[in-house]
Amino acid sequence: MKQQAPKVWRKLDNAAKIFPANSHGEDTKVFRYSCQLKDKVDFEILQKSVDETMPDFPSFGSVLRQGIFWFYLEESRVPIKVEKEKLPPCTALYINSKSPLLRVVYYENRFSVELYHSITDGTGAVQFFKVLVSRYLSLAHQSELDGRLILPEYDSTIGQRMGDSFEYYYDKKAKHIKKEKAIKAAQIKAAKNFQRRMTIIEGTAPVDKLKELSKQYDTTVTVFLTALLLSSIAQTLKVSERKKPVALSIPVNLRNFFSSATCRNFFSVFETYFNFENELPPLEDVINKVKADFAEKLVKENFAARLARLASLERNVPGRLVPLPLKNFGMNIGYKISSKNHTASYSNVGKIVLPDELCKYVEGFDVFNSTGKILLITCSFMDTMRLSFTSSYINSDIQRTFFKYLTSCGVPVTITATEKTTEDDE
Amino acid sequence: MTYCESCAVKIEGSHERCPLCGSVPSPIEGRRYEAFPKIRVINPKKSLLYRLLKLCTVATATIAVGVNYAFQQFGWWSLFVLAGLGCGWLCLFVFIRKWYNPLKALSWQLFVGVILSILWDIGTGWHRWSIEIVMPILILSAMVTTLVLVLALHIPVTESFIYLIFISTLGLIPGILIFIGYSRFIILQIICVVASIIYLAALITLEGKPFKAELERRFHL
Repeated sequence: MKQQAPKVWRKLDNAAKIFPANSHGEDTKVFRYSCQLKDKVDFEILQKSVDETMPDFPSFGSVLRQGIFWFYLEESRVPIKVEKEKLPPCTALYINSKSPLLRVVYYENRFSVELYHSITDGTGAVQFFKVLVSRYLSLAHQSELDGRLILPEYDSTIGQRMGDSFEYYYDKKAKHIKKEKAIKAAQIKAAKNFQRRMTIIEGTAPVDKLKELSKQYDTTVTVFLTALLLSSIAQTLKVSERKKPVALSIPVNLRNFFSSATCRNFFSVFETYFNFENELPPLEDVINKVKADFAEKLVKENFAARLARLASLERNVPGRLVPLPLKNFGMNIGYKISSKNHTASYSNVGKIVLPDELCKYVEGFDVFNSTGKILLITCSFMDTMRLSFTSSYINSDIQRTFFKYLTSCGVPVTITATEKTTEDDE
Repeated sequence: MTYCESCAVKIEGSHERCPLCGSVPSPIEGRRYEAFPKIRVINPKKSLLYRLLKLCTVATATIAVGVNYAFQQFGWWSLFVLAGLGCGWLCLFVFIRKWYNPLKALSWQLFVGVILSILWDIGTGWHRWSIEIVMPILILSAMVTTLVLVLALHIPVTESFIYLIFISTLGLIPGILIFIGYSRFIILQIICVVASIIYLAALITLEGKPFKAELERRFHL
């Protein structure tokens, strides 16, 4: 037998444990960060940047393996190869215990990193992506930058980056806040894409115009966009479905509430909803309800309680002793039940900041995530915001209603989209 | 770049129809930037052999049940045909799912094989041939095959440990059966237990530390 140095392995964090059991069909649990440059992407420089960035984020180069009771991440010695884009966005990464959980692709002026959710969350991926983009730009524009390597500032050690913050912040006593009763949300009943592909429609709009518009409603851009999405979904729902509340699931970065430099998963979710029923009320009413929900639910105690509830499930001794295939089965059922609590999702990644000297080489950033429903992710860079819709439905009425409202309010929108493919073209 | 009058949006790339409303947009000044490559949608088809095998299974099952229904004097033998076909597909399915890792595929095949043979034995009157003959033979052949695979494919110790442990631990079960006095035909069972103990001892004594580390990661709670 060939002798090999022992490989580093890591337990999955609390949130990561749910993903392998639920990566099916179009919901591959893969998300993508893309950077659109002003020049064409240079393959060799990108490969070099990837090779140099990977050691800073050790768990990103792992594979997912099955133990008897839990999955775990194991160091992989197969380097990540940059490839020309030839797969649809967010194609499954976790196939088996040899599959890399990270993919780097490029096409024309754009390069993208796709990551499996078990290794990191949106914020962790931003950290990685910002380092990769900065390294790429520093190498690609070496002569203009006098050969300096300009990297984004972040003050954390590799140990802090790879730490499990769910475990660190677990406080049994925090569970005292009672869980809000789950609602049964309206579901979009529409035909799904052929071959489980996702429809990607992205709008680019100026941040100041969006801010101006939100100000007219006396609210923030996030609250305004949440309310607009709720209202756009309600307008396209069948009347029979509209009797149930339209709910959005919104991921929250826990680093905003608990100090942490981890690049692994550290997020939670909350739901906001509106009962439209037969009427379609003015947007102000929806905004007021969303605003109230944000104020009430976006508090540290709620997230500490949720964190403690989920962590105690994982710590339950008889539960831990259940073999992995049975756990997967249970987690799959639990996930399916809880997915009835929301109609769609909205995630705001926020502002992506690069070192000043590098901004002039970049056109913009965008973020997509796989979904079995419809999902809006927003992120801004410099003075533009990208509003990226991924959807498993063929129909794009929700996206149209959403963007049409923005343009009717005087916000200029430019659309970028994948080609619609609904049938076999061979 | 194009402009859709109906949605009042600019559209990047070479879309012939507006991605939002499906109407034909009008061309406007601006760069022609393609954000995503055009990826053809190809209807995936399984291999011809696989599809033929499926058809043959359905045909065999239907003919067997039909003939059995017409001539019922020999009992419901078609149930055995259906069970046989089911077992064949289960083994094939396990192999297809795990083929990327030969040792994993072999371990699963062994496990499924042992369980199915016990079920067949129970279904045909429990003559104990499954535990006294089939199980030791399957385990011994799995041991030989894994050894050949590990040596021929140069599979590293860390990759093969868990499967070697699984197979040799399974090989200790006949020992328990002999110990409690349940077995009558014990020659094959004894060979199986002796081979398993040597196999396990070789793993522990020759590969002590990695053995422990592998157990830790695989069994972590």
